Amino acid sequence: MTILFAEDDPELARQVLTAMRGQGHAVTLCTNGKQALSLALNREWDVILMDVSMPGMDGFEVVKRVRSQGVVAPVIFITARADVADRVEGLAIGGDDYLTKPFAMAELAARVSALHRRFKRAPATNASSPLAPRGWRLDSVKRSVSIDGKAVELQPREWSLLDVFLNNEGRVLTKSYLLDEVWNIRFDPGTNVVDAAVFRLRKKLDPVEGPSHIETRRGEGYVFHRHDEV
Amino acid sequence: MVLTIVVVAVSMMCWFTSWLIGSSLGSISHAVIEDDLGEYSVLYENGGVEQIRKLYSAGSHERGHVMCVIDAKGTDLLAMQSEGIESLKLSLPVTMPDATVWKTYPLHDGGTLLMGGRAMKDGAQLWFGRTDREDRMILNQVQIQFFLSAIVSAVLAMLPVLWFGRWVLRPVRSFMESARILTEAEKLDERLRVDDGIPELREFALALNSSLDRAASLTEELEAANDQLAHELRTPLARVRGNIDVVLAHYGDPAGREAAVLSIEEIERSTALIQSILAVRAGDTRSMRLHLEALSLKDLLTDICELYTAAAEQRDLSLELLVTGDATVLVDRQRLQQAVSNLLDNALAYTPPHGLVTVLLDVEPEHATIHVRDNGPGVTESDHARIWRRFMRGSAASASTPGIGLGLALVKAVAHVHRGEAGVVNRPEGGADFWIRLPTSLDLGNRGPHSAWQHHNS
Repeated sequence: MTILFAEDDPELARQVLTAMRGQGHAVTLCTNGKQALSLALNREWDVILMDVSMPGMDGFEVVKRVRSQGVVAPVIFITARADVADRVEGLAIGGDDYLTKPFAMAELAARVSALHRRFKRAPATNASSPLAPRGWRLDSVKRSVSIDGKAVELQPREWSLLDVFLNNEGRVLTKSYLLDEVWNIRFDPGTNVVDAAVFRLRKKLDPVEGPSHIETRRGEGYVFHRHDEV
Repeated sequence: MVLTIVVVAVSMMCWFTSWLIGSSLGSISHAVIEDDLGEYSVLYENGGVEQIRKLYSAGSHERGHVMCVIDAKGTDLLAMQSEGIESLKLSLPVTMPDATVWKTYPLHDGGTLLMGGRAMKDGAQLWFGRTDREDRMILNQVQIQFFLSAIVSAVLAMLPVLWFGRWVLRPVRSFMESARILTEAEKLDERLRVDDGIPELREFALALNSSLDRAASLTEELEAANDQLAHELRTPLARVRGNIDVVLAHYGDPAGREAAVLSIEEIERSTALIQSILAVRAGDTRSMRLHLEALSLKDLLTDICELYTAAAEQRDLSLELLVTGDATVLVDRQRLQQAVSNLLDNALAYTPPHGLVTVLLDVEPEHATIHVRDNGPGVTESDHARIWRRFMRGSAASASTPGIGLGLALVKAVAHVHRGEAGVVNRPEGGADFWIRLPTSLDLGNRGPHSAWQHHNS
């Protein structure tokens, strides 16, 4: 996908550029607000990544002007300001997501693709449920799952957690991303709440033998695997 | 109070004075009658009744005078009465001793007629009298004038008292009050009041305030530098983290990967630390920007308890939520959830296995209280105050207990910016009971002027 990336810190820019290009995205970098504004207005983008504090014109102002010109491309703000109020301001201006420094590259990647998917997916295709492992039957209306004919009791949040995993199969999901997506929490709880929740979900879903569906990658997060090739 | 005393004193003075004046008017009345009787009796002895009639008719007599002469047989020789007392039936005694005899008669209008009588040499009786109508009129006037002047002088006498209260006592009192606030304030933003009276006090207050200003501005500078530092650390941390991510993605050696993982965990802790420092500081200065929403506390607590259930299970702890009602309050959901989550972090860390952690929502008319109770060791006496301070950890904390000593400082800060309070008590049955009390009023109007309050309806 084509990505416009506005960031004035050269080192961070280089890292993001490397990571995103490594995943096959076409990324265009600009290092100040004015440049970002003209690029955002004059070309089509799948996703715009916008640093908030930039020389010339700050990211909020750029997006405000871009939105007033009718540009609808999804925008993720990247910022060192972590206040909820800042985030709310960013979203009110017309941003679609908000990422606080420092962040994991995996989290940025997950947010970019989630946003892109949300943006591209027209309401009509929303009904298609994600691909489940073999032997699983998902009922997204009842929010229940049965494995090999056996019904598995899931709490509402466990279903949400599973839903996020199924929609991001094979992709690293960070704890902070899961906390935000499933529990709508944007701070870091001192207790290993996500680990514990994933542990419990695993106990309910994993086969008696064989590898787990949810792989833990220390320092990175979790990856969901269907293991259908087995 | 003062007014009552003044009114009572003035009334008593008035009553006493009019009693004095009244009794002296009475003796004057006797003297006047005595005097007139003397004159008339000389006239009678010299020229008989006719002389008296002539003189009495020629003289101008005030209203309320009575003159009568009765001969020795009791026949009226002369009866002259002014209007208003004609109807009065005088029954005078037949025989008289040498001296003047006094009689009083009540009149219809409430007054009294005083009659004085004397026996003449031929056996006739000479009576002269006057009513006290005039006296009473004078007395009334005197009373009114006296009362008015007493009131005026009382008010004049109060002026210095008022002046003292207004210009001396009140400024001193307000000065003392602001000094008391100053000593009790946790921060440097209180000042002595200088707006009223007393030049000496004002100079003292100005001098003290300017030194407080200097202290505050130095503290502010230092704290602003800290904030800036905390803020600026985010970008380098982001750079480091980005590079470590690359290592993890491309490097296969287990020892190297482990080092990278530890580095990432360290960065995450530092980020949380920076975040907490900024939040506690923002809470201190009431500059915490809030995203306020009207939320059900019950729902908010249900969510946060749900998040912690699995983690509690892992530690062999039971986590239960009890609610005595629900309250819709205007809060920043993330901040309040973080505060409750900090309390739960502590409860989970300090409660031994098989323990019970209870989250209780207690709703009262004016405020709602969130309790996080455990049946762990409780909080020692010496820890009660210090655990709320920044970077102070309780004595129960060990090197392996997670946390950096900012959790409870943040809880307090969040409670404060929501106009609430936070505290801890030990439960009689053992264990600690940490609480956050929030006002249930949805009114935003009373919030402080310094705060950058935001309200979005999302």
